[in-house]
Amino acid sequence: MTYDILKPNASDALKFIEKYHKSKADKTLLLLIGDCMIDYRGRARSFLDWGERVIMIKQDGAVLVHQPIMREPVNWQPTGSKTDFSVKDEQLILRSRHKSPPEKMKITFRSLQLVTATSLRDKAKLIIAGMETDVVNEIINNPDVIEGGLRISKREKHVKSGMIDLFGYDQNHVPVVIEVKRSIANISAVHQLRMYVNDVKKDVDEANVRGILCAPRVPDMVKKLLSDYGLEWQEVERRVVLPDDYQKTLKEFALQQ
Amino acid sequence: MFNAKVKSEVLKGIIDVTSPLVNEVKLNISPKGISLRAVDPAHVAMVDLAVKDKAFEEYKATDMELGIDMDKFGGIMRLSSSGDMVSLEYDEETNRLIVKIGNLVRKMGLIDTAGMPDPKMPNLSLPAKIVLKASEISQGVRASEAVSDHLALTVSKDNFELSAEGDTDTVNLKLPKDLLVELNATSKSRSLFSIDYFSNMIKPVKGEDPITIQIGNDNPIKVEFDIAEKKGHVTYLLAPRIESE
Repeated sequence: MTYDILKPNASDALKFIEKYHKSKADKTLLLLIGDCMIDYRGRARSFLDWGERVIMIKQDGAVLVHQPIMREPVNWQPTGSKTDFSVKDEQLILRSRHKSPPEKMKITFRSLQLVTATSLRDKAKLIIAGMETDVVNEIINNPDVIEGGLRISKREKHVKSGMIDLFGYDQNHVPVVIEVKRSIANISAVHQLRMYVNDVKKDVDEANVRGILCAPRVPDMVKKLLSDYGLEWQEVERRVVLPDDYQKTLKEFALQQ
Repeated sequence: MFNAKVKSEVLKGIIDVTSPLVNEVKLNISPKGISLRAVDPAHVAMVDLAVKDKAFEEYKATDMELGIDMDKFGGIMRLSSSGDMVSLEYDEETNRLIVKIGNLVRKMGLIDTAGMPDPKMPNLSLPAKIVLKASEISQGVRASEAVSDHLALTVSKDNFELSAEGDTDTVNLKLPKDLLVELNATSKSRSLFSIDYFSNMIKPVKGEDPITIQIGNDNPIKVEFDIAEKKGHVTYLLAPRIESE
């Protein structure tokens, strides 16, 4: 059930919040849009002067304050914070407290455009695929995707100029440096690989060290540069990795019939 | 018109069965009793409930629908003690349900049912069926909750098995045919379910009361039991989780 109130004055807003939010704060998500000022004391001290913002109090007590631009909240309180509302001098005041670490946030509203209270259910967990680590894991599990006979001996090997994603030996026991990119390979990846290969050459005192750049796509320009430096590449398909078991919905079965 | 008198346990039973899945329900009222069918917002589980007029001490109704906020209704019912008689009356003029518990009169605003869906019960063929006492399975479910977020149910010719596997711990409950009220299966059926959902479905059934379970292979589960002193019946459907590989 979703309730809202448009352009309420402070006391109406408080009444609305007491009715729909305070009675079951752990089940209600509250959204406020208005002109406010924010005072925060906790791990640091901050003050944010008047401005129009979106404030969200999530069902776990987390508070997020968003300005009209940028991705990150400008102020926030963690999960488990307690929020109270009051009215003083015809201004709605939100106070959010968190015990450990001690953090206090006070938001004073001089006007409100909208207050919404709703209760959301969401049990799904985010599944992310296409991370660089997914590609790395796939190569470790199946080095043949790069070439037959390849053995991976180390993941994240430190060298002078940085960290090698994968290090191993080919079937002729020649050291192989593999740099993995999650999306299109670019010129800087080529230079990175070149430095790693040079580092390894010095470390193992071996003139023959191979470098392979792995990415879902390697553009022609990058391929050309790699050849110029005596390096190689391999285009590796990025598989969407689903968890080993996942929830079906009844819809899928209803449609089968 | 809807005008009824009923023991508070019957209404609490309806709330226990419904509220874990949905916040709002459309209660279908007919001269023969009340019923509801609802699907949770994730479309993972469905509840179908029917309570006959005989479950009420007094019952007078014509065909109509009531939109009920289950959290709110649950809050009202918590005001009653067990054994209390609760009277329900629909007030058409104000679109409220008048709930009377003893001398307390609580008028509850109703929700508009216009946009609320009428979910259809999928037509499933589930080859394995068992009937068992609630107490036999609830222990296994509780044990599984500590170990994993999903459990596997297996029915074979001679027994019923519940198992859960976590990263380090496992749970296994095997009930041979003679510990079950009924077992009807010609081959093995196994499906995986979310413990969160499943435990809410069997929680309303207590002690010796029987639960009927039907499963297939990677198919939804059907859980059925009686409420309101056998004058009401509940059917749950829960979609499985799928194991890949």
